[in-house]
Amino acid sequence: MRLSVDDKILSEIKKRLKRDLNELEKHIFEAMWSEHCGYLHSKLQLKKLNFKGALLPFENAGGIKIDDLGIFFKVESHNHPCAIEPYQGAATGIGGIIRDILALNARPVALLNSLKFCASQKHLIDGVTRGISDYGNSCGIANIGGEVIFDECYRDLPLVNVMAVGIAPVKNIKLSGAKENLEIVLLGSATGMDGVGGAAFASKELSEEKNEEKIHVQIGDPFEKKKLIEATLEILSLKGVIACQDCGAAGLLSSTSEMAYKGGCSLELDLDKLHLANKNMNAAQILLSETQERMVFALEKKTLKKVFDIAKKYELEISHIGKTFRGGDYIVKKEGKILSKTPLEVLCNPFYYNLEPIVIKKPKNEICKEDLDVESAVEKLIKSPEFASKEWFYEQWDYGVGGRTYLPPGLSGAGALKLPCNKGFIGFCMDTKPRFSEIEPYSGSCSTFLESYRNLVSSGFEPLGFTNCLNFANPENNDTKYSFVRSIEGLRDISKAFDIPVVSGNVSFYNECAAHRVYPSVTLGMLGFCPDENNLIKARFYENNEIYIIGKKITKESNTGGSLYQSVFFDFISGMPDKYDIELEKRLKKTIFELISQKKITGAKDVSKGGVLGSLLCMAFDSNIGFSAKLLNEKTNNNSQKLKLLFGEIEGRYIIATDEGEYVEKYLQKNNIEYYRAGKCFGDKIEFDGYCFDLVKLRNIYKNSIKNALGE
Amino acid sequence: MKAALVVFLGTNCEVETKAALEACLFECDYVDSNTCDLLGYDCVFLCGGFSYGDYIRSGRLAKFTPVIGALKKYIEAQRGVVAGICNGFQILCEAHFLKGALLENNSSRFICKNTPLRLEFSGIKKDISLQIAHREGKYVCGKKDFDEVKSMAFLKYIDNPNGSYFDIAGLYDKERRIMGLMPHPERCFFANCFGFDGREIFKIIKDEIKRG
Repeated sequence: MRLSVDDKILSEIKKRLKRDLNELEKHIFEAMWSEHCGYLHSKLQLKKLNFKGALLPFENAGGIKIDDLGIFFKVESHNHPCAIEPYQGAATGIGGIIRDILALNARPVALLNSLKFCASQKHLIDGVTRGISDYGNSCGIANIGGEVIFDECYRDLPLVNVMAVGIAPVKNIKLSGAKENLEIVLLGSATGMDGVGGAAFASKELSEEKNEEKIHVQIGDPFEKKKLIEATLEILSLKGVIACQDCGAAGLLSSTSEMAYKGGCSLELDLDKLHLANKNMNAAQILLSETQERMVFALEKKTLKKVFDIAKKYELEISHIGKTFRGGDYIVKKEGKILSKTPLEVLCNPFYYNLEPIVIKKPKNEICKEDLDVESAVEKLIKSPEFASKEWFYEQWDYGVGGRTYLPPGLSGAGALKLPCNKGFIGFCMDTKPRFSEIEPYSGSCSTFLESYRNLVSSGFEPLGFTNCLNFANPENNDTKYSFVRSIEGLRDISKAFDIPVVSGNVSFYNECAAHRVYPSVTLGMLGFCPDENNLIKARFYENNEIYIIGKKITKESNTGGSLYQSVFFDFISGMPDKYDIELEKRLKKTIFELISQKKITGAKDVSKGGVLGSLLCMAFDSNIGFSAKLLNEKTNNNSQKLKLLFGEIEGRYIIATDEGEYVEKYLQKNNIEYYRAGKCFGDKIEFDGYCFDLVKLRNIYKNSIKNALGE
Repeated sequence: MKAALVVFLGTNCEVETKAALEACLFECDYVDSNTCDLLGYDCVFLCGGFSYGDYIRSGRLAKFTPVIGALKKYIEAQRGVVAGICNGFQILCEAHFLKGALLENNSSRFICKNTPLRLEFSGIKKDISLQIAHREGKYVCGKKDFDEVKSMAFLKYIDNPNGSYFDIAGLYDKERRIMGLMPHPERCFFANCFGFDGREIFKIIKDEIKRG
């Protein structure tokens, strides 16, 4: 194994330990003080976020309390493994995030994905999609939504962010901190050579020598995971089981040391006691193996037998590998000898970098000189994989298993689940706006937050909390420092302004290779609540609906920097993004909720990718109904201005469809909401401002463009 | 009426199947793969999921568990109705309780979607929509069984999604005591977004039990 602990860090460790490190300890520290485990470059920044109102934000996963239930959710990135081995990379990404939820004694009930690819890298798209399909479906966890983004910046650097959702009565939650005088037990797959050193691998740029990286990729076993889920929930229901941790990055080492550190006690591991897949493993390999499907428990001695019986019932291997006692040390034993004894205070408290940026990046403000007529633009937009229907993806992921799904993917802005005991419905969406963050990271974060917010609101959900996954390039580079810090500050401020907290998070750095880096990709997963099934709103038109656009009006002067159309039509991003108006967003939410509860809205969608025309087209295609509308309310013969008005993305707009136009108009007037009546839904033509398209023809392109792009 | 739901390691649709059965006023018990006696139940359900990870191939490993022996006795005794949904159908075919086999879909991909079906069962003839969720759902059988199988198909795809022979989505045996289907009726039972046509299937099963 190569060591990548640099001299500066090594001397810092020696200083704190007041002694030299032995070979094993070098491996231990390399993993624990890696970016992946230790959050060296991000920890100090993440502290800035707003956690007020979150349930257990510093546990394996955080959540929001609804009634007496904890709704836990978290995103994990598996970007580096997917670049090397997309199938296993994606599968084990799901596996990992499921365990984070499970460790709290919450049953994992839903998955969502945010995937980013370069459209021409078919093997990555196919491998990741199949990995999610084979693993998630077999575990029996419904995949209720997410997003897929395509951009050239993700060439060789796919971003695979997966989110898991779990539900548990708050009184049943188990924490990860152990206490003195407990027994440590390892349940699940036999520890092997797979994934040894994975944490260190995820903490550096991808090199050309991909063969060498292969050993670091973990292998998933969904059947073992399904058994592990059921067994873990049964074990955690026992009174004598005090704490639980999953074995993720840096395997047994990270899970057991954190367990002891959080619990304020010493922990001793006897590596001879483990069930191993490969008998010749040395201490470092055993500790650092990232073999999947393993959980660690800290429990009272009298509960050991019951736990072993449960393992037997589920045909899982289990071993009693250590104990906790008074103190503050992490002790590793093998063949009767103590190989390492280090203070947890040092081991679990790495050196944190202060990332204050020294350069301020100025947004580009070039003007695009190219031009395109509206007819070609419409076709170009719906052909682009990012805009096109994502059916090809989500039909491969089981969204119905579990019997809780009440809004499947593609039906509205959010996926929805029914809570147990008629406690209402929860909705989730995942969003990233990398082009906006590339232009201006602070407002990019805010805009992403608002995108999620509006996705939930348009589906009838009150937004309550969010999780984040921050995918960036090398944090030692000044541009990345700047965009990372500003992204976090944006999230902090917008989250405070709406009083919607961050509940959990994940950071992935080093998403860059020799040739290029990814755009700053701030991925959010947001939770909303809706008490009544009748108030769940779909992004659908029905025959003879009237269409209204409510909220901000786009004009020739609007800022539309970062809009999808720039990138799709002209392969260009530039200009300033639109300014958001927090008060307006809140008023729009209130109005929409009131109209929903009065049963005046039959369908709704936020205006997002592709601007007002793009969003109307999405609704028309998904509903298979045409429309006739007037969208260009300003006089213009200039093509580029038309494109801006039709496809430009600004904040604060929704489409609502209704059967009671007159009532809705009066209501909007009374509440001082700016609106205009765009048109009516009917027939099989898409007509606006003198343009006319055949619904069936366009819809076929929209439905099949991903399949066609992949050559299927 | 009493229903047994067989839960193998890896089965994952038992909760919603139980909920649907309870909504139809069944009294339900989960039974595991070591169960040796099923005679106390009016019907036995093999639920959807991935029994034993569907390793080797779907239903292959479940076939060798004790509960399959109990099922054989149950069928020989003509005790009640046996229904297999998705993985349950795969197991029933693998264990030769039903004719044919379920192979990988033509697309080689997992397919999850509501799909239109034609239901034809003792006088009932209607078009319904149920959710499918499988990667190995292509129904095939030997040439010699073609005619027989065609006459025993009670559920057919209107828009064949996986390459199944004769569009077969659901099949019963000669005695009409064993039914297998790839679509998930339990998923189209509660939520608006998936519709409620699953109730038709549970109604048929209930009627068949009453028929005795």
